[in-house]
Amino acid sequence: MMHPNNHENHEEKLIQKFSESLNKLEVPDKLRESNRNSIRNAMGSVETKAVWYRKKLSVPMPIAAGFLLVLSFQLLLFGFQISKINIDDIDQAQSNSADQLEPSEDPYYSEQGVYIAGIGFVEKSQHTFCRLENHYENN
Amino acid sequence: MEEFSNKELIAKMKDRDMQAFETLLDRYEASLYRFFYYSHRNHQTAQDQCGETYFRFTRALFEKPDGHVQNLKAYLFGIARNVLNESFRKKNPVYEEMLLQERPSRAPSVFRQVASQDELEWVFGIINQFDEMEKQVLLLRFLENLKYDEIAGIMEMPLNSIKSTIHRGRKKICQIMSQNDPSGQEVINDAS
Repeated sequence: MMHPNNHENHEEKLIQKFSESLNKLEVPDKLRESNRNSIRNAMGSVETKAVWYRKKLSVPMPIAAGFLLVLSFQLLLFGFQISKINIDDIDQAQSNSADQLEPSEDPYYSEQGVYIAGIGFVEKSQHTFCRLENHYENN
Repeated sequence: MEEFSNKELIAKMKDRDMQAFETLLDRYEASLYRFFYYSHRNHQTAQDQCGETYFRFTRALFEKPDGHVQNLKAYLFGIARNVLNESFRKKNPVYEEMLLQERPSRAPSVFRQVASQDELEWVFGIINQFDEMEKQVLLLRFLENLKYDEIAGIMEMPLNSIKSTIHRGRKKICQIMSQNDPSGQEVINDAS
């Protein structure tokens, strides 16, 4: 009868022999190149995966052309409306200014003097005015 | 060639060091091929499945650059197992026919076998005594000498189940081997 230790050793040897036989199988020559290609393909597929702000969007040409046309028209219309608003504002401002009672800041300066021949200037005065509509106020 | 640990290897691969990928192929290419080949005995399918495994591994490496691979060998064989199971689930009629063949498919001339055909038949004779799950567990154990907990992680099975599967598998293998040697001759068990 087999000693338990011998039995275990015998079993271990058989398993080792089995494992060696398993690993005797050689790999095909083309396997390495095939695996290299797979790795390269994987790396290439990862590189083309761009972040969302770099992603390309495929839009059919008619849709893109139509979009650009609508956008151009809108910009043109918007620009026209702005210029119309500006003209309206100017007209309104001009009509408002006619009723304006607030003094416009338009400084007016004058200098007066009395000159006697043979003597020179005997009197000089300087005045600064803030001109109002049809009204002058001496500052 | 400088020997890198698996951790260093992963870091180099993430830096797209192609030499690191070559090292990866050197280390595990043969074991992966054998794992696939012994599962279905078809050279072309095994080669394709190897490529698919490396493809998925490389993509996972770069798609999750911050991810940590704890065990490179177990991770790689985990992917291999998924590739194998998916091919079974596809239930390709042609593939099934190949599986049912008792003789291996015609190997191309570049295919080298260090083992004799008899020895190969002998190995397949032993492996085919087990069902698919047992076969995968035993191949992971005896091909790549993976640890029990690594196999449990790959197979997604409890550790005790793996231990008992391997224990039963060893007994059965020893019993078969004790009856027949690689030449096919009966062996008188001289253990006494």
